[in-house]
Amino acid sequence: MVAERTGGGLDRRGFLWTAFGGAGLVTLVTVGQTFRPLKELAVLAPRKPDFGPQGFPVNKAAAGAGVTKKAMDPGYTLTVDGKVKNKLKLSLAELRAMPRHEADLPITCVEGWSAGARGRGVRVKDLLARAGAENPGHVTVTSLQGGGAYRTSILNAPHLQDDQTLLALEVNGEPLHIDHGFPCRLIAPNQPGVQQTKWLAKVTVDA
Amino acid sequence: MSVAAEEPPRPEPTLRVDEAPSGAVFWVLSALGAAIIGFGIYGVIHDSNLTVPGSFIKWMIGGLLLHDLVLAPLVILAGAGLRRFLPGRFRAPVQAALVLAGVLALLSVPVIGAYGASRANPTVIYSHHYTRALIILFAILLAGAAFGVLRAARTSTADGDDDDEA
Repeated sequence: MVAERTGGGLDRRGFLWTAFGGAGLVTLVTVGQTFRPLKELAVLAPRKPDFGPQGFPVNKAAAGAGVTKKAMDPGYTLTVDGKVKNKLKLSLAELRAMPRHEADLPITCVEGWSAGARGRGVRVKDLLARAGAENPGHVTVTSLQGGGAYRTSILNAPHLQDDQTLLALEVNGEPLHIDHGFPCRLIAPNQPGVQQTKWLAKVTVDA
Repeated sequence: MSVAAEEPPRPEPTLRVDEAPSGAVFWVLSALGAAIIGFGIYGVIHDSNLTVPGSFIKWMIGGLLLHDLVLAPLVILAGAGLRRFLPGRFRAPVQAALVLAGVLALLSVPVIGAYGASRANPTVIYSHHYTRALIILFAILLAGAAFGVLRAARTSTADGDDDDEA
């Protein structure tokens, strides 16, 4: 006789089920943004994990970050400086000539989407060895971006020693798309996407 | 409602003070929860260059305010208004549908407003999210009405046997 007291409206149990259903529905129409098997259901999520250049979304495009000109400059160089024996200034061709390795890692954006990507490029530890850095424990990578909270990111010893910490030149079998960080981006395990810094300009050994 | 005239009014259930939570489990879990919240707040403040506390607070508090000051009153008002116009058996499904539609409408605000969409980055709001949101809202309301019709039909065939919740 519960229905009588509510005048035929939702009783307490019905209301709880409705709240539960609401939470479920919200999850259902957004979770595919990060959980690929449900990607087709993520109709109200702003991004889709397989939609974008080279098969995954973009947080910030090159045009939005204002780096297009610098990134496409044929005179681009990557600087390696700080506590190193030999400072390096490597052109894209010199970077490409170094041994390249692959890492299958996720880009997990703090905005709620994530997508796996196969990066290929130079191991950070190889680059630092070439520059003569001894047991680096703290490295800052800096983007071509002029500002913003995610212009730099920091790598500590465990990341620096990891074989999967790469300066990626390619992703999913193609040279990086400009919006994915051409000419060179950081790809490292266990990092939020915003710290997979794009359009790298400089690698600085701090300690 | 019509039955109420033949029955004495029921006393409304009241919250009894002696039901206030207590006991070891309650306090241990409360302490654990408070510690986790404290750790989160510490992180927000300590890494303020990454968390941007201003926008963090806007989202945390803003979400609560939106729910408590906009969504909940609208849903309650709509529910109360519907009591007058809808026949009894329709009320529950339609109220449920309105709650779900309200939640999804709130969720759709960013994609309907296309916040963050830009010509430079077509991967954000990559499709016709506006249309999608409207279709879903319409479908929920339609489902609510359909359930109401089913319920009403069931009641009229099984006449007088409507206390199926017992």
